[in-house]
Amino acid sequence: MENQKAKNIQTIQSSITMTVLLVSFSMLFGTLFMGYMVYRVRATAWPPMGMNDLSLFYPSVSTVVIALSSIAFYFFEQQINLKKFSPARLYLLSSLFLGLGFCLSQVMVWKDLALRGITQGSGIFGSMIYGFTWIHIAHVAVGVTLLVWLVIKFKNVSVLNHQDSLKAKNVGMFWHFLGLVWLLMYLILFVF
Amino acid sequence: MAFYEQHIHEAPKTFLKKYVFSFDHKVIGKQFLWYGIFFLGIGGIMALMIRWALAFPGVAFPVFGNFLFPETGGVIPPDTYSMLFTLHGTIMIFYAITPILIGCFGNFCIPLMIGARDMAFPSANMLSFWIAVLSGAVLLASLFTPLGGAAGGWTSYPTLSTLIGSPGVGQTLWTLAIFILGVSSTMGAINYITTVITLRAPGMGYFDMPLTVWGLWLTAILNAIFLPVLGAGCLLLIFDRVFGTHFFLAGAAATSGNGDPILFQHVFWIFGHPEVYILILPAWGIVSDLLSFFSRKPAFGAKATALSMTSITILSTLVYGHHMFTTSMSPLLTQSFMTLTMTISIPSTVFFFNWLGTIWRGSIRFDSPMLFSLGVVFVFGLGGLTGLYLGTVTTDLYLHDTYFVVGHFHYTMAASVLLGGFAGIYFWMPKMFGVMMNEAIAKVHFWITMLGLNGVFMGMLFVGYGGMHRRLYNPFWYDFLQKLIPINTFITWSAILMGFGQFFFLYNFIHALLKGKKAEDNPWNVGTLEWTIPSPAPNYNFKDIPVVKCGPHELGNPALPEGRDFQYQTEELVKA
Repeated sequence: MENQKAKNIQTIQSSITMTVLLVSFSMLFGTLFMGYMVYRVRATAWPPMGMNDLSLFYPSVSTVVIALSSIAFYFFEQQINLKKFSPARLYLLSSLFLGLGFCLSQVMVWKDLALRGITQGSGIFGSMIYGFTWIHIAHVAVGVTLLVWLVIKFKNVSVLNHQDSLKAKNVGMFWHFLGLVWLLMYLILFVF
Repeated sequence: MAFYEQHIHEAPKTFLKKYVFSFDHKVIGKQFLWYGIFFLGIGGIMALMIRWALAFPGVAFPVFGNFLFPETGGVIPPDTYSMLFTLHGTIMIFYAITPILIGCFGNFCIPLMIGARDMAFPSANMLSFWIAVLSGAVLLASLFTPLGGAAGGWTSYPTLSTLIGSPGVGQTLWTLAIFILGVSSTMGAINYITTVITLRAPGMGYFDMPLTVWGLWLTAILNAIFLPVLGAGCLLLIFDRVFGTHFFLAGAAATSGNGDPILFQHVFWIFGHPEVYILILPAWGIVSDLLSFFSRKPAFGAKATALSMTSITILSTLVYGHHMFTTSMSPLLTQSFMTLTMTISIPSTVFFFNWLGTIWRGSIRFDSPMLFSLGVVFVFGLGGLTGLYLGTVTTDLYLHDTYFVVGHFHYTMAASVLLGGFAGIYFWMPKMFGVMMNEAIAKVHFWITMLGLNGVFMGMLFVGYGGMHRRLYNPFWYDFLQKLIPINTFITWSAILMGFGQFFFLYNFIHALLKGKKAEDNPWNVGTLEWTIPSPAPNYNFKDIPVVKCGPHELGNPALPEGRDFQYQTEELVKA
């Protein structure tokens, strides 16, 4: 009984903390999107005069890769809830490698932009693409580190402890959140 | 209702674990106090230098002027003057008031007042302090860079803060320091929010929490939501300065596709206006409790006070535009922001009235915490009223960027918060360090501070109304300001008096720590949970988690037995 109560408490505490943390991160990214809206609404032409539309190839690859990573993480969570640790570890590793793949695809996005003559100094258009993706990738780097930490934590797990399951859940929330932020960035910076 | 009971953690044994990398919320609270007092001293000296330059331009700054400015014979040069007012504002707001009011009282008081053994996340709490230290170190390091510290004002508006306005590394380090401090404060805020929600003692509903905890909790909510907004602005400013992006560069400064300097103002004030309340809410909470404790009667309309503070917290997020009336904002927007700003007067009046209602016909004890609390009532009243002129578009257009603004925000953010902070230090000193401060010296400290600060800030309102711009290096150069020179001199002498008054505090504080009279467990005879345990508070706070049975302001109940005029929160409410 006491044990169950303690678990419930830990779950509540962890969800409150994670919710507040994600609200804080949302405000940070929300500020960037608000700034984007201001520039976009005021611009007489978008992309600004003299700038070409961007190639969607690498940003689309990034979107697919981070989405797959999120899905893999979702299956990891499902498997650990079912106490099937071997497939869980596989999904977690897939999520991690896809996360690293996302980082690589972002480097390709920047290289492609540079080849097209768009740098961070190319006016507000270039500034926004680079600035926003830099801030996002910095968070992704933290996310990838957390995934590595989870891989180490779940390396030899055979019995699921409540605290570890909460940790996995929290890392998952953060990772899915970053995927969602990227999706918004993809849509507003590259697609529309 | 508490969700769970934390374990009693073992007392740390080594010096490092006890005093440096401590997980104990009380030690971290004290660390924030030392940190805040250190920066308060630096910011205070900077204020005196600013005032010296304004009253005695061309005269060497006394004592260490020749050491600091040998090339000008001890006279403060104009570029240094800009740096001084920038860093004075930054240090006082982010590195003195924030650590003392939020870091110190938040850490020390929240667990003790809600009946918890520590914060929800002690290690994040410790990390939060050391990140703040890193931020302070980066800020101080900026002073030693080739072109000196930041000089773009505490608001760091572009283009003053871009490479065009501030070419040195100092401004970059300033921006980085603020970003790092934001990380620290957000971590603290998340901890405070979770602690208050999950660790309240059994029986303690939200309205049974002392108003101090209410103030700190609301502050934490604002911090968690709005600091990341400033963080985003700081990051983009760093990108502009270091990586050559064009977020805030416009016109000839941007090579193609204009950025927008005004956007930074929006971002800054979306954070900046709630920041005013982030700073003042803890002081309001402390004062609301102390007025009741020292009037020996329940807080008048305590629930209404808590709800008013909550309403103000919500409204504070909607009014930032009143800082930007002069930026060619659409009249529709200015009027909307003006109306919303005026709406804040309603809850403010409710809780101000409640303060007066609390002391009305009370058996007032004029101990030092009460004197400082009454001081807050006076200065906050003045600060709030002068704010009406700045929240109104028509008057703001004239008063914008004058010393009237400086006087107004010093009354609200500096005077109120400083006095509230002193009230808190005098009040919780026995529980923090187990010693009492000398009451007579504390009262001398109060009166000198009160006279000094009113001389300074009232004077600022006058010279501002007379048209003096807030960032002039030498007002003597302008004909229309000649008549204001005597008032400027008066303000400076008042500032010197106020600075002198702080030596009484320092002496009293240090003397109390070294040779102070040992404090009783409950020297002020109040009933909140921290006074139910020994002084200083033991390592584990509460041996047994208390069960709360009544509110925090049960004082002056006529049904109480002879010789007692208060009851502890752990006692059943005595009914007639």
